[in-house]
Amino acid sequence: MKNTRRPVAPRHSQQRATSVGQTRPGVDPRGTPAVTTATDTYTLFTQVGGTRLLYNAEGWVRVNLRLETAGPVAVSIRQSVVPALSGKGILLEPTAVSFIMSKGDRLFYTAEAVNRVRFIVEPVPFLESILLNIQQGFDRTVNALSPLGRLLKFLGSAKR
Amino acid sequence: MTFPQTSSIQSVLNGQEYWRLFTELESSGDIYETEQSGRAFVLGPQSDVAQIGLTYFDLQSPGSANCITVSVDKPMIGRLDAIGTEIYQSGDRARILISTNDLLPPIGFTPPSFTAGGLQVVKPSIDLLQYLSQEPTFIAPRANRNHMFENLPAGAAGSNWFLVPFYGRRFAEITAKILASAATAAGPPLTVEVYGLNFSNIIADPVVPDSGHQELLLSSVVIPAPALAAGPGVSGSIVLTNRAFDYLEVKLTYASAFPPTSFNLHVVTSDKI
Repeated sequence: MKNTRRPVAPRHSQQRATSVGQTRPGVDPRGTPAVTTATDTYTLFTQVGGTRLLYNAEGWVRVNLRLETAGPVAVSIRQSVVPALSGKGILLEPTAVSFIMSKGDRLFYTAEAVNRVRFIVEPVPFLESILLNIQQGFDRTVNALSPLGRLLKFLGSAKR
Repeated sequence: MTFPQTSSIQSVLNGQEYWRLFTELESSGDIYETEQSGRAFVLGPQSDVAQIGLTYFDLQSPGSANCITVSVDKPMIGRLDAIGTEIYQSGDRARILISTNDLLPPIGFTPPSFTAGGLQVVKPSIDLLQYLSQEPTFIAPRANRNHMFENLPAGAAGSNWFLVPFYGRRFAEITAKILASAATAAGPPLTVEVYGLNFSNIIADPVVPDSGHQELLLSSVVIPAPALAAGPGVSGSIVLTNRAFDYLEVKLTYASAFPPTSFNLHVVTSDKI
């Protein structure tokens, strides 16, 4: 039977595409145009009291934070990080702390005084994120098939 | 007294590794503040006072405030927090308060030996270093303090008193020198006496300022006047070691009118012998 249905033309939104917001610290994330994730560096001067948005990850990124003054400054993925010394977040130290944030994660901070925080954000390359997922999935599968899994894993490491 | 005082927040914004409070004190009750936490608090190199008290927020202490003393030999190494979001029980924000634990000469103070004549009191300075980024690897001792009173005019017979800070010091050298005279005859001798002063909080009479405790350290040292046509004037020095006083009082007395001349007084104080 002949298909007489006419194809539906795709409809494009007239509204400009916006991201959730790869925001710079202190910048309002609303209405930020979509940007490509890139390495960026800031020195953040913290505000006193309250929970503040530090970073909104548009994609997979690695953030590096180092406290350059005496603090106390606490950071957390959760919004309930107040007060700084409550243990709800992690206290920043003069030695740098680095971790990966996945797409859509938000990083919040609270501070008891004006402090300097060195903030570096680096993108996790696309292929690297896939390989990370693949490797994690492979490890879980292989481990589930033990002892065959252990044999395969041994052979794989020997080959390398 | 520096007013308004320097801001520790500005030091953070300027990227400095420490904040320094260096100012002349007016009274023992002067209080300064810092709104920054510090990783170490150290007596600065130009501090005249030997003990500085830091008041900080502590929920376990009465009034939510606790005190610690930073002294010449005992810096505070460790993080001390200024909690901008908390308040003391007095209702003030929980910043770190800075004051001196040493007693200063009261306003209008005159030493017990004072009768009539000139009186110069050197006001002490407070010098505190607050390290913001990391603890210091080396803590320098206080620098020597040189008090120079030069070309002091000599008029009619009388005395002049000079009071200089001596908090926490262990060594002093007092040198007096009569400058060359232009007269035709040798002048009278110059007598130097040195006293040690310790102040107290005893208020026996609220009208009369407490004169503190005074102890004569050295017997009179007579510095003879230079002879006519002599070159540089005669000088003499007194060395003082291992005594603990708040202030040193140097009294210069000349028995009769000097010829047109003048004299110098030089007082060096040090933490080291």
